[in-house]
Amino acid sequence: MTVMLEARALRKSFGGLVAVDDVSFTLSRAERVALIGPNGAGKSTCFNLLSGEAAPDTGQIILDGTDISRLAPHVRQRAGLGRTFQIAAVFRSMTVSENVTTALIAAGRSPDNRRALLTEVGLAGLGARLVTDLAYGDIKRVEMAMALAARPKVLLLDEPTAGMAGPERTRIMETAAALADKNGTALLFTEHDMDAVFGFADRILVMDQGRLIADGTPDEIRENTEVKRVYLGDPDA
Amino acid sequence: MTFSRTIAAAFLSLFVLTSAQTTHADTIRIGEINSYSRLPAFTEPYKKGWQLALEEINASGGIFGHTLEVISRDDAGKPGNAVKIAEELVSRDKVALLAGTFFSHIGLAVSDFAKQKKMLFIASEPLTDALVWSKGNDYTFRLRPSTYMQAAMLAREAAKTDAIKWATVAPNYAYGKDAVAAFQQVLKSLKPNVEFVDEQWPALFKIDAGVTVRALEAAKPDAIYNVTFGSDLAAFVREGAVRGLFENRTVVSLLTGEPEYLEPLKGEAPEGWIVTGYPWYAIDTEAHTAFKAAYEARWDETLKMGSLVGYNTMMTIAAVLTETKGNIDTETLLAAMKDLKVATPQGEIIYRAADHQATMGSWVGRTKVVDGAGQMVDWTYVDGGDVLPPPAEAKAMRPTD
Amino acid sequence: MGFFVAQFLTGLASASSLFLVAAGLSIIFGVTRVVNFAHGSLYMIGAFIAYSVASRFGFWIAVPVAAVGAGALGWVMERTVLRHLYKAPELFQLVATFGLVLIIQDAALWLWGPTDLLGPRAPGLSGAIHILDEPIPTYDLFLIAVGLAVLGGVWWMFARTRFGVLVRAATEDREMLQALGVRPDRLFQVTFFIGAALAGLGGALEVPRQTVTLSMDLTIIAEAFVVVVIGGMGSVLGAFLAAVLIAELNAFGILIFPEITLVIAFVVMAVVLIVRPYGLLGKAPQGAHAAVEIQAPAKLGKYGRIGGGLLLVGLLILPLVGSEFAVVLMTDVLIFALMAAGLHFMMGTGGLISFGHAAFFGLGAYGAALLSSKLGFSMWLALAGAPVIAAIGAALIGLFAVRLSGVYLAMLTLAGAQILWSLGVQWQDLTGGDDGILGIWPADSVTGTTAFYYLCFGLSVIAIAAMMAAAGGRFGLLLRATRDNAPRARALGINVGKRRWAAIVIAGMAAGLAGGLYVFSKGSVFPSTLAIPRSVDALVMVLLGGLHAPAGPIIGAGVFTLLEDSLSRLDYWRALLGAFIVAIAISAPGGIGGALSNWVSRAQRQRS
Repeated sequence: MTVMLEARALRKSFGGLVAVDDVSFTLSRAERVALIGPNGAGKSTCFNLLSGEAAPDTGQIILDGTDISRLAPHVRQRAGLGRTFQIAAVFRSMTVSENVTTALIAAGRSPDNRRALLTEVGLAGLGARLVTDLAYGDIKRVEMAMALAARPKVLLLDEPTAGMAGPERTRIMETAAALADKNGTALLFTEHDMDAVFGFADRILVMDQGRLIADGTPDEIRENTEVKRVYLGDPDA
Repeated sequence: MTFSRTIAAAFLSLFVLTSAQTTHADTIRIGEINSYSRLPAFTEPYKKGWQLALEEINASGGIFGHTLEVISRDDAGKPGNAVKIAEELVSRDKVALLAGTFFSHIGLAVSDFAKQKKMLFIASEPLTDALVWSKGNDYTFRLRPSTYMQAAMLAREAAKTDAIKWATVAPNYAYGKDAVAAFQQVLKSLKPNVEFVDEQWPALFKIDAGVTVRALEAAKPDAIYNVTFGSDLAAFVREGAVRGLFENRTVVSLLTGEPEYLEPLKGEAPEGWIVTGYPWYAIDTEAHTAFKAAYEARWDETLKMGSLVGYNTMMTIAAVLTETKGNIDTETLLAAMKDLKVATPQGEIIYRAADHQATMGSWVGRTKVVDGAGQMVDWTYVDGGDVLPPPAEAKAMRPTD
Repeated sequence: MGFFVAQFLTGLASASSLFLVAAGLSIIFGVTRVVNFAHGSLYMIGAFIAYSVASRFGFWIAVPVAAVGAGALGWVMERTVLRHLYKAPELFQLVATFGLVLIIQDAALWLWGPTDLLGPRAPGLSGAIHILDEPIPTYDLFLIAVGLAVLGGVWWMFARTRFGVLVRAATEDREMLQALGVRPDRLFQVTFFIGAALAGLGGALEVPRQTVTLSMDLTIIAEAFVVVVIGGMGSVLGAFLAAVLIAELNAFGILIFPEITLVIAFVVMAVVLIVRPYGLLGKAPQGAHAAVEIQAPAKLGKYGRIGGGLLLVGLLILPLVGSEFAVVLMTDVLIFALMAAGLHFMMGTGGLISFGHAAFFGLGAYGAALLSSKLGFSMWLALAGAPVIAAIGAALIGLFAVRLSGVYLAMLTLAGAQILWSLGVQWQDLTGGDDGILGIWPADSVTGTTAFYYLCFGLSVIAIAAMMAAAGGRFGLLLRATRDNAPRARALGINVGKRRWAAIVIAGMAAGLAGGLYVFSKGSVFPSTLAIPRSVDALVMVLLGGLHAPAGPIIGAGVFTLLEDSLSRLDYWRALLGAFIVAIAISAPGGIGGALSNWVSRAQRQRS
């Protein structure tokens, strides 16, 4: 399998606190990988290092053969990295269609593709609505459409189901999974909902106190003693 | 939407208010601009001066049956405003001529505007030499003695002192620069061994008096030539006195003897400075005594320099319009301004054809605190004609285009 | 040696009252996040009150009375105006407090008259003592002591009193305040009172040193901004250090460069903002709210297009039907509309607040004037050069500005404009200083009022239309994206910094062209084209017309210019204008353009 994204010995500290400590992993084409861990484990920092919101103290990030460790977020995007945010980030002054159009223009693609894109994420017919008038689940879909507009090689999803109700969670994960399969996009997502994690991930990375403590298939992770220890008392475990 | 309606209504009423202007065929309109809100100490008495003259003129039948009407506007001390107002006076109020202004840079700006729009401009107060010399034009005439004239009067007195090393302090704009240059030029020609050891140029009305005084002190001069006025002067005098800057030093100071600047200093007024000014309390010519009585009766106030300048401005306007028999054509007015003679409380003055400068003079004397207030003593009146360069020489300084 | 000590002490004395004003401004900002432009007015009122009280009851009674009086005025300001604006975008706060400046200025004019007032010396401290053979005024030493005492007092208050703890909490961590169960409105009131009282104290203590004038407010507020920004907004110790730094630079600078004293402070401020954006001792703001409202631009719509068409036709035939003066006035309107359109573009579509739009307008104006007078360029070439020079200036300022946002961006643009203003005033060889540059009249072919009007009409319409097209097109869409959500825009591959930079350059070009036209319409240029009131005019025009209305700048410039023209013949027109500005900021944040489009859409809904 082709490796699309590789993190090599990433380290990031804030003052005396080491948030990410010697984290390495790979992501292959069309692979769906979940990044989990208790609060404060370093998931968010790790995500920010990958997307470029923060720079690692040491270590490298390789995207499809290119070292992107020191590049600005918008340059990483052009190299093939897309992302969504924990709280859906959309352009609040725009309609659904304008949001997607903006993403397409930014990606250098024709705005004519917006219908197809909206249909893919299940928002056909809602283009003229102001994005702020939508339900939260639909806003998340708009964001996903935007992230997909550039047909990224790797898509980072930061808690894709946060703030959504049960059945809606499954649907948005299904949408993401289908798109990843179709385009060969590698997905890396953080998630608190263990059903989503074990239901959709091909592989699971587990972080604790800044370190990666496990990397394996859902079945392997379920049996991992260290993971059990870390999650002891956590109702999701 | 009630908001937009309110705004619309407000506008309509404002336009109705401001556009309701009546014109009479038999009035001659004069456009007058001055820095009323910026330097009221001078411009308020100035306004009272020209109002007194205006009332006298109109009471005695106006100019060949025409009543004079003055449209007076405040430029707030900003040259950009003055130009904008001048444009309004010309294009909206259709005035016959422009008059007034206080600050030199504003005078120059209005003068340039008058040249472009071909309007007569009688500059009453701005003192810069450039106004009638290096930047003189056909359309501008000036009433008051220029910086050169007043600096020359002072330089004559300064040359009589023992001081060799001089320091200067002046506001950093046209008037201050001209006043320093003229003083240096005349003093050096009278006494070639003088040295100028320091120059301070505080921004107009933004003097940091403490540090300016310290900087002057550091140069250790024998004498100081001061051009600051208004609030700058007050701060300078106070800081200088506290820090002993004026002890055992000759100080020569432009305009400081004028009541508008000397009176506010009250008991803190400096002693023994050589100044130009206006000792209205001690002038006893017949014409001046009559003027003083009329002014005090009309306004219940004592005279200031501005009162005299305002009065003479309006008398000049009346004289030139009398000369043209009420004709307000600009070319006719310009011709009449040349060598125009005007009777004023200080005697007859002439607007020299050669350089458009009037021969109004000034009083030179020394300051002294009398009964807790500053006054001028040991003064003499110097006629403007005595300190002006000869006409041919003055004309040569004007642009030829 | 003695000389330097004396010079240092003189600087320190100047630093003291500057520190008092800046400390109040800084505390108010820290707690309420309001940048109070009217803080200089409180200082001025303190001086006026002290003058009046001192003449009857003596100076030492006057000082505390002035502090309490200014404090009370600050409290009234908070209750009547500012409390309505805590949640409003920063832009509205800045503009509303400037409206207060105008109101207070006219109130002071009404109460104390226009004459500069020379107050008494401080009894008992009117002499000087000799230190190392140099005379030092005892009052200077007293001022230094007061400055240190206030610094110590504030320190004690922060460390030892419940109020101080709350102020610190509010400054450093908003959430903590709520956790402590504090009623913020009470805290805000007390903060305003104390901050205003410090300003009043600073003003009162200046009475023995300088005359009390109506222009004290803007002079001190510009310097106080510098001090607060350099020290770090919200940091009192920072304000103290910055005040000393600025005053000493000034005291020693005057010995070496007596002619460039004004520029020093603003250069230092710009450098600090570039190197340490949050000041020497400041911290990055938390939970800062939006600079402008995130809102879609209103659509022109059918009525808008009809109105626009009618307006164009009306402007086209104006010289045929209107008086000469109407043409003169509308020339001004067209020029200011172009200037405001530039600001509207970067602020409305880009969300980039500028408090220094005069920089670009003045660069264009001085650029055209210098090209014409120094290099002998024809009017046409000089006019072409104006936007280019302004764009270069905008590109430079923009380079540093794009990293900042909100108040800090506003302060950097203000510093940029003030640097240029200082050069305009003090670089006499080039700019003529206060005397300006004269004799810049149009080419013979457009020298008449009507011909020049059509020139302005043509250029303004083309430039404004181009900007409207850009705002409505792809460029505008991507710029709006950076305004709405910068991280999202970055994640889509948009180079946010470059996009913002381009918006600033476009705004600069528009204002520069307007500045060029302005010079040729007036025949002269003066430092006032670069001064703070010009920047505020531009802001008010944009706000008045509506930040999100496409025709906002045209409506705003028209209404503002006509309003100013008709009001300025009244005695207290500044107060009226100020009240109008405050009313707009509080009750009609959409401006006239917003109100009109609401009105039209409501009418349409009723009909359907």
